[in-house]
Amino acid sequence: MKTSEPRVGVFICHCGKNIGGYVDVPGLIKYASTLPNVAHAEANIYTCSEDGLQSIKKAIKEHKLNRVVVASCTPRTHAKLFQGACEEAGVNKYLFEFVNIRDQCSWVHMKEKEKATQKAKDLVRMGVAKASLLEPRVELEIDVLPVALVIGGGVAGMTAAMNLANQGIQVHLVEKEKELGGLLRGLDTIFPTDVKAKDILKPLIEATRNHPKIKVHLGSGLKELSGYIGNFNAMLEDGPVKVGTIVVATGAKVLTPDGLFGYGKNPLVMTQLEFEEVLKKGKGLPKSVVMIQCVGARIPARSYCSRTCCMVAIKNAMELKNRNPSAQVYVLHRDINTAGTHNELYYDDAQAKGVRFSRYTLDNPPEVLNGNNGTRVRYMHPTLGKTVEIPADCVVLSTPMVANPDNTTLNKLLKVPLSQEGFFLEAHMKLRPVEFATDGIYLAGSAKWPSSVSEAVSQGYAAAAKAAAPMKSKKIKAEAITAEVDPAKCSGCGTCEMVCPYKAISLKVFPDYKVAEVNAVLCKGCGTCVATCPSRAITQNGFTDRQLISQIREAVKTELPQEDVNIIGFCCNWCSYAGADMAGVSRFQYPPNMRIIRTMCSGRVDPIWILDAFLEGADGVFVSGCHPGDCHYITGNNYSKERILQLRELIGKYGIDPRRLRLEWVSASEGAQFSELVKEFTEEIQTLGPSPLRTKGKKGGV
Amino acid sequence: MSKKLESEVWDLDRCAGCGACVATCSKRIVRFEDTEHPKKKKVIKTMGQTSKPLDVCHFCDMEGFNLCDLSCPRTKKEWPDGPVLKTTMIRTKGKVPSEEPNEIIAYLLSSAMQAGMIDGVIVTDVDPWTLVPYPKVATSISEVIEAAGNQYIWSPTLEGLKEAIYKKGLKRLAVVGTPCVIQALQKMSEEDRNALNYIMSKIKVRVGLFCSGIYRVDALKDISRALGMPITSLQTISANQKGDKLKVTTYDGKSKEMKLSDATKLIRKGCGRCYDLTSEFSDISIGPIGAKKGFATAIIRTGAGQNVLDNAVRHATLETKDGVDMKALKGAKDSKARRKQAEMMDDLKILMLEALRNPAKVEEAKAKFGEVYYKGTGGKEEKEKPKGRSSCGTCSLC
Repeated sequence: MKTSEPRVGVFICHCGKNIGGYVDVPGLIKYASTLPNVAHAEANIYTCSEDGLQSIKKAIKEHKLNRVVVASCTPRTHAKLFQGACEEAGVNKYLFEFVNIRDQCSWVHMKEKEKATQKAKDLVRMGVAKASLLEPRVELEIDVLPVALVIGGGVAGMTAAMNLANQGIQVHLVEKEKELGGLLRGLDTIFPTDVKAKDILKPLIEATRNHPKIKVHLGSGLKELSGYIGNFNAMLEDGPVKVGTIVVATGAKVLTPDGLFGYGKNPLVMTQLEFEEVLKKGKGLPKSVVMIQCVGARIPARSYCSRTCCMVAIKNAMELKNRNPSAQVYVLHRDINTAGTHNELYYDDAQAKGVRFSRYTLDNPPEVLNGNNGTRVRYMHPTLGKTVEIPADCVVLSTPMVANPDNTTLNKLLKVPLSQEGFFLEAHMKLRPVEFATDGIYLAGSAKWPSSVSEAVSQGYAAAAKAAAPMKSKKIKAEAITAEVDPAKCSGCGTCEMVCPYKAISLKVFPDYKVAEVNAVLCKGCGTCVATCPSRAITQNGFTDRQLISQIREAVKTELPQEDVNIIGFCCNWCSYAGADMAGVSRFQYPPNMRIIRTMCSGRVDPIWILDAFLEGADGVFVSGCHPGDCHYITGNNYSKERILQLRELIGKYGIDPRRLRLEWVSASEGAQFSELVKEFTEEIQTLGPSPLRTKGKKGGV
Repeated sequence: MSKKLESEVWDLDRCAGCGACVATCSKRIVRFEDTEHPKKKKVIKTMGQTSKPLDVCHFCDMEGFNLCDLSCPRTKKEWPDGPVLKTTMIRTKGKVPSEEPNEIIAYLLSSAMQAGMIDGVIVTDVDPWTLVPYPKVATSISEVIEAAGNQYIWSPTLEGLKEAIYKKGLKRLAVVGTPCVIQALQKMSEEDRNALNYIMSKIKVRVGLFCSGIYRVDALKDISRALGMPITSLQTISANQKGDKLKVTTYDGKSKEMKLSDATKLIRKGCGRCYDLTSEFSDISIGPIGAKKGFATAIIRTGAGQNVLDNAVRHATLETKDGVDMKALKGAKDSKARRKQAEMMDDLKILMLEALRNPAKVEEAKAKFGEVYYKGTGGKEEKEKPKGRSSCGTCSLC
């Protein structure tokens, strides 16, 4: 296919009302068809639907399109779908460009239809400009070793391991404790079927231990990890293993409520887990029990709901009632969470059996009194409207599951992100729930989020299925966005080798000269070396200088009123762009002045682009990457920090207010922070006013 | 003005560390505090109860003689190739001949001193306690012979000019230095208003080294840590013949090697932009590349270079031989010359920065930017490199 004459097709998605309701889509179509190189522009109700995909394929044939631009949601979730449609119609998937007018436009500028439409036009124009410069690429094939590593020997981990092993895949199951079973070992029965935990656990452990394809490493853990999907080199505490994929099922920990409600001082105050021990023993069961829910959960410091504790409390209350129908059980709660048919029936059942549920509020929590007449719980009864005291043989605290403290070391080894609460963060909470953004690493059970046994099991199955897919097909294709060296420009200085975290680029020494060379298998496509190279002898396919500069220049050409400001934002694909998406999904509104340009890593952002942006008339430049230490490419953001801060100082010396250039860290979960930062930055630039370089009337253009 | 050095050289990590600005600053406010680039001393002017920071550089600006800028090798836009009279192989003469450039230079200059051609040499020596190199002014033959020579670890060679000229009052100096040092001297001599004449008239011979980059001072620590050898036991550090490994020998005769590419990060940042390999503007350049085993290569560039060499040959301290591998020399030279691309990118960056301040330069900066990014890499390339021509099948040069 000739790449010299681009014929771009633009497909604009209404996304139902999600885009169509806040952006003038017909106007956008009209505008898009006037752009250079655009051969066809159309709107779809849902471009991602079967109809939408068909119409892309049809238009490619009809209008002889060789570039496709879809303006809809985020490439992080939908790029593969549209790339697939392009491939089917004979357009190389690297000739596809995504424009995000939902998460970055319609959802975050819901009250400013006109400005949102203007921004959508700019974004489409930027996308078309980049698309015109795209080039077809061939992907590299990687062999996948049919060996899996499962970290964590709880119910999720064992399920995943068994499932993989039953498919004939060799599995290394690593458990840090001396025995398998995880949190389940501490439980008596499991809701909602009242099965004994040991009846489930014992056969599962036995099957796991005796499976010929599973090697169990007890008392071990991951120490070091190198490599990539298909060929990971994992150093375990008991020796090295080579694996193709990794499943993370490290579980969670139950919060110990030290100092709350007299826990630790009064022996009658215990956690649900400890109460299960009492139930397990079955002797000397208390006659009157008060359970307090949400202890240490849904508070400002730990705002999430642990989801399982309501059911655990109800289950334990029922268990006690079953054994001793005359026992008094009170459950003091803030809300009861028993979503799902089985669980809700179970709740009804408990009420019918005489378990008393009563509500308390966060600002007026119950008190546990320990005096001459035994332990009593005093709380404000909501319907009586006065405080009541209940005598208790036993006070049981329902505490949430909290993230495993080991997560903070493990996530650095695996190079995967954590949520704000310290749990592992999946690639996408709706569409990719059991995998990480990093290829070949999957996730199951409470390591991701507090989950019940049945959820842990189903996630174990899901993660195993996901992990098995590349191992079964034996080969996967690597994304062809790797770096490439122009040997004619390379001086062999070796700076690139220094910044590459994957050792993917190195100096090749010839008798009379040295030249850098990229190993395309190891290259992850961050582009840090590209911006580092003093000679700019390296390019990153799919994110070339020309492509990104064309985006910058188109972004600056926006038709804003003279007094309004335009801002260029560079966001790294993994954290900040995802953070912007999160702001969109959460509908956090922010001013529509910023046009986002996606790079894979903030380390790709070249200071010279920023100078160009200012010269072309940008009023502010916002660079954003993963938090220090959280870089998807390990160290890319260190270099962006170094460069951007240096440039900030420099432009100050050359008469541009350094406040016009901002470097911020935004993680994938920080949608609120992202919108706040953009708001704040826009306001700051507005107070600074338009850039001194912006000439009146005319802006941009070469 | 050192303001220019500050924003165009120091802030962009381009400083060569030659020490020229330190030696020439007429206000004595430029000096090295850390290793990457010099800093300006802050001067506070006190009048009565008032003290105010004084912008000393302003005075040089007014006079139009910004000596630091006039001597800095990095503020010259383009360095052409230098003259070449003759290229020959060279080694010391004696029972144990040596091909070490430092020894050859020591013999060359001690002979010159013997003959009264020079009365002092600025050369690099190494502090025996800290192993940190420093510029040494050698005024006797024994001092010249004993100096360790350049170990490719940074020291601000030209800082030595202050001591040699102002303190010791020497009148016929030889300077041994890396290409940046020689470039600085060349730039100083090109100054046509005689502002630097007082210094330049004292320099009679420039001996240049071959250089592809100099290590930071703390590189020594890193190397010793990487190899597990105590820093005080290191005797020599040198690149191997193939140029891919760094060989370190200790006083007790042991030697270890590390990959040269592992050591590249230890090179001064400012060296990444220099494209002069053979000290093009010296009187005589000496280095290992291109010579056969047991010899070094000497490029004689001027009459003065020829004279000192002839003198040493007459004194029977050095001997020369034909047979330099010109292809290897040219290959290495061209390889380093490819750093011109980096220098061009720096010039572009400076131009763009300049344009931020000065609207008159915006168009020029935009044009240059377009030239670099749109003509160099863009659509034109496809036309220049036609694919699949019939003759391509037999050729593998492309």
